[in-house]
Amino acid sequence: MTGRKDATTAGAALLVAAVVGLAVAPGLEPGVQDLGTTLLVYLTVAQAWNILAGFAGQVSLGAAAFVATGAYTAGLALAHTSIGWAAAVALAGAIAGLIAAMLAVPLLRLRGDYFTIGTLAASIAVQALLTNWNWAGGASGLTLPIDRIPAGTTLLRLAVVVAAAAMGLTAYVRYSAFGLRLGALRDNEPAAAGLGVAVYGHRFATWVGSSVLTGMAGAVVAYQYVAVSPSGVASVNWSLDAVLMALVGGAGSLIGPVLGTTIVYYGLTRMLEDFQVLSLLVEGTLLVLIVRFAPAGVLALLTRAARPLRRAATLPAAGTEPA
Amino acid sequence: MIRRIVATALAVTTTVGLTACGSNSSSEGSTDAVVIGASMMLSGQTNLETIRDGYQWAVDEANAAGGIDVGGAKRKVTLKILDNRGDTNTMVQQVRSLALQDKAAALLGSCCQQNIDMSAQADSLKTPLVMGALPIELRPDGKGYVWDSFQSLVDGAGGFFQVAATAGTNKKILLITNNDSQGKSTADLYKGLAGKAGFTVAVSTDAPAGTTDYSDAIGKAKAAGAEVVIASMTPPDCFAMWKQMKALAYTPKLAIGLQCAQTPGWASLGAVGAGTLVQMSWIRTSGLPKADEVVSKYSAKYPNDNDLSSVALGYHEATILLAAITKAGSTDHEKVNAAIGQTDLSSALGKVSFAGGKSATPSFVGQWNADGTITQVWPKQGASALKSLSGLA
Repeated sequence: MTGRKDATTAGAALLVAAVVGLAVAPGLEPGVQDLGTTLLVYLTVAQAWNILAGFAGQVSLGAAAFVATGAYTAGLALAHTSIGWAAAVALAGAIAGLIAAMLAVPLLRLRGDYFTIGTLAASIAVQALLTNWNWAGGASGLTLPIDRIPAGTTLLRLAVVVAAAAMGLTAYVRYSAFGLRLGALRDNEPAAAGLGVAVYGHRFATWVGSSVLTGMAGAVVAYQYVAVSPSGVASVNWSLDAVLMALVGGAGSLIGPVLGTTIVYYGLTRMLEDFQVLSLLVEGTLLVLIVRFAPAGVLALLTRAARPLRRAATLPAAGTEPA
Repeated sequence: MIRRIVATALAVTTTVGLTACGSNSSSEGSTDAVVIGASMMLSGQTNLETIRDGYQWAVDEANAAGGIDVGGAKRKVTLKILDNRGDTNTMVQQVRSLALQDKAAALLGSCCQQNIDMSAQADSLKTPLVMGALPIELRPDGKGYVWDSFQSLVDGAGGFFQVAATAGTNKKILLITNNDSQGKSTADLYKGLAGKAGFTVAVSTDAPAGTTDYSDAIGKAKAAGAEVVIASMTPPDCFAMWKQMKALAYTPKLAIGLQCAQTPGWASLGAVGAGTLVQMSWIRTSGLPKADEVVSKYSAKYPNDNDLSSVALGYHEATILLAAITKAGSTDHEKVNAAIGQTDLSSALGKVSFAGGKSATPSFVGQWNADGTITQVWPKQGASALKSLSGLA
């Protein structure tokens, strides 16, 4: 009952946040719109990773492959066909999902560290493929037709919709029976399988769903970057950022990646942009500290810190007689 | 409940942060400092501190004179340079931040492939970008906000074949490039000019940036007896290939390193790099304006002409931009952009006059010496005699 209430609350909060985001977008300064778009893109990628690794226990280093797939799909579609940018986003998600389904054949046979290494290898292979794909511009990449891509308010609204989709899917995983079964697989796969959980089906659905979201985020990246090249959209940094943001905030939770994205991108990357080397050092140190001392992320730390407050609030005041 | 409190706090923090972030206002029409932005590779595999120093020199010079005249008022110039570590994603985000949040009146470029990616941003943001370090033929067509004042590949290639004709080789060429747009354009250009100059491209190949094994190309060149090497590659790749040519006892008589021998760091090859030719847009014997000043001001920090040419390049680009802002009498992007197009001045790399967003600077061919210095070998005025390719002998 409590779970259903929490799910309803989360769904309502998400809906309100999305509507507010869509409504306030036109009133923001261009710089804030751009920052918001970037944050929401990172949130989508981190949340997609969170679904896969935080809830399903499949730690991937392959996010970059799907960011690149989405970015190139949208870019090529707009450069060579007459479809609109919105349809190109949908196509980006579809192609990312298709490629994920194909990669599932070898990758989902792997477990643990082998799966992680397999996804990293796939990501590097995609980057190498794009670098040598002359029709798509090779190492120089391609430039999107500026007149046909969204910018400013429209781009921010698109980012809000894509991020809302990521948050919505995460909320579904967090509160549904499907998510419970994923958690069972993550914690003890043989036991879950013994109880009748369809292992491959659940892993496949999570892998493809996460990749679709990442591919759609890639399309937004393409619209923001205007020029897409293997060194940018296929950079392994996308995968590392997704891991860092989700872990810092708290993997396996709905809010963790929101917190992580804000801390890592806005708090570190953006605030320390004048000190790039320091920024890298702080990010690396933070990751080590989080993994060592707070593996459940900053969200868990905050929750723990607030526990005494909650206890104090629920205790009867001194001298009050129980009824 | 706790999670909801945390989420609310987070939302408030983010909103406050975003609002604070967007509190900058446009400097148009004000007496605030004029902001010029640049996102450059200042750490990582390539370090463009030489170009940065050139930018800073021009800005310091303007500020020392009380600032630049903008619509009748003297305004100081703030040069905001961010290090993108050679990462494309970081570069894009920094450029957008400089244009949208710092309200930069215009942007200055980085180098090579980054300039191509940056061009798209300049067109998208409708913010003028003045850049060099990318041959003008390679600048992609755009929406008119990108201005490139640098050397022309064609001029440099013509100079190279004039030098090569006197080198006493068998005129058989190994042509190797990266498979990016610069590499492809270079390959096409040199193949076309080679035939006209009486040379034969015996081996032609390309490789993605980051390739570390060139033994196959070197083996083919040895088998074909190619005595001339033309390589257009990023610096680390080029360094690897030069070392492998030495290790595999491939001994061409003439070699030019396009891009790579032109960037800071070539001297790190030491003796192996000696005798290699380099295409340049500036050299101390060039007779260009400010050449003596570049040498006297920066030769202690940067002993070789390769680095000094980058300082001159930075000064040249920043001078074009500052002059345009004065001419525009405004920091409005459209007005500054229009003024850049009407540039008519002479700076550290010579005369500037844009046509189609491009203004070619003079070309020189230099030759690396074993002590890390460079000697001009073309054109004849100011040139010394060509020496042997001793590093690969």
